[in-house]
Amino acid sequence: MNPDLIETLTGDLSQGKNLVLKLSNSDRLKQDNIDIVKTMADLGYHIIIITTNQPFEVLKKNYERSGIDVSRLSFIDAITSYAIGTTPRGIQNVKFIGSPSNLTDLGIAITGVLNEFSDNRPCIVFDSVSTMLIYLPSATISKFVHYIANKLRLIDTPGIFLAVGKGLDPMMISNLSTFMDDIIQTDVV
Amino acid sequence: MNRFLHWFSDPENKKFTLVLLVLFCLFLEETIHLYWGIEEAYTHVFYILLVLAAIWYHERAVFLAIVLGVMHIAVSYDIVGELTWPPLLRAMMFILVTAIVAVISAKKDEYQKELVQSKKEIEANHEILIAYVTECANRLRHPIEIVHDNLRELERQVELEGPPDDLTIRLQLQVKNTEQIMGNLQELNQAIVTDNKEIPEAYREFICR
Repeated sequence: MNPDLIETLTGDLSQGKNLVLKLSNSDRLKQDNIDIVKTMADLGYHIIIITTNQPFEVLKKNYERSGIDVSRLSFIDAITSYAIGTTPRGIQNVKFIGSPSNLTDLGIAITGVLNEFSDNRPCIVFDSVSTMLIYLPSATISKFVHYIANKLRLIDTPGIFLAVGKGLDPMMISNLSTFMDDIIQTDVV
Repeated sequence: MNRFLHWFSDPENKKFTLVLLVLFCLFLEETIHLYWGIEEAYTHVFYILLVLAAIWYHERAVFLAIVLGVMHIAVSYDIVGELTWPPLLRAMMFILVTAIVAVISAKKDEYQKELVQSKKEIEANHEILIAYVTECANRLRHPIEIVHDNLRELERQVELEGPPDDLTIRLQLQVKNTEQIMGNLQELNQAIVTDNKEIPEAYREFICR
């Protein structure tokens, strides 16, 4: 666990800073994801994890290993169908998107899941903004993050966006910082 | 004094300055030439007006020179009662000096315009280049690092714990990612070829292959 990250995140949330960009080192991204999900679960949120980085199965195992109650989690998985070419069926609390570049479907899925869990204190963890760069130009990603951030702001819902700090160019970080309430970079070297 | 001169020579206030000088020249023509009958020296003041007009309005200033010249000849004719060479020569000098300054000034302004335009183009190309290099870093270098880190993590996991259950899907994902990175490279190559017409056709074909 990264105490600095947890302290900063809980401090931000208590001050009403709901939209946070967490910049990590690439080797810390996985652990930061776990720490953030654990912190949000401990705070009583229902966490909607949008993954464009690892298939939900891999993330779910990581969470289970870390003692997180996975019943408090929902996934929007934009990578599994893309990787294996077919959409798995009959898996609860997981919405599959055909490709991370399909932002229309991703937007619809986010809206749907937020509505579904609107009574359960939903929050969003986006893993990760930097991985989206494999699939989309930086300008498109900035616009999409802006769209999601506005949506979350309107319904007063926390959103934590993960990214590898070194992977984003200064202009993109500057763009993203205008939509966010805080940028946490506890361990970026 | 400097501020005063600066204000008058500022192109922003050129209309006001020229109107003021025209009025002053008319005043000189009427008092010194027509009233006192002196027809030399004061006409040097006309050149201030004509040179400034030529600098600011180029060839159009020649019309002003013609008007001043005709006026000077007419007043001389009115005083002397006949056409003499000195006022004619002065009027011709007004036109000649104005025309020379106008041509030089027009050329200078044209070069300056071209220089500004060329500077703008260089800056725009520089911005495009920076954007291209940044997008290359965003869409190639960083994605390769992601794939590398994911494969390295998988390698460590296999070494320590043996092959995980989700090995296949994780490898499939990295294969897909590398395909996408190759697609990005193709897209960026296409962009640079489209924007740079000076690249020879053979190289265009090679880059986009």
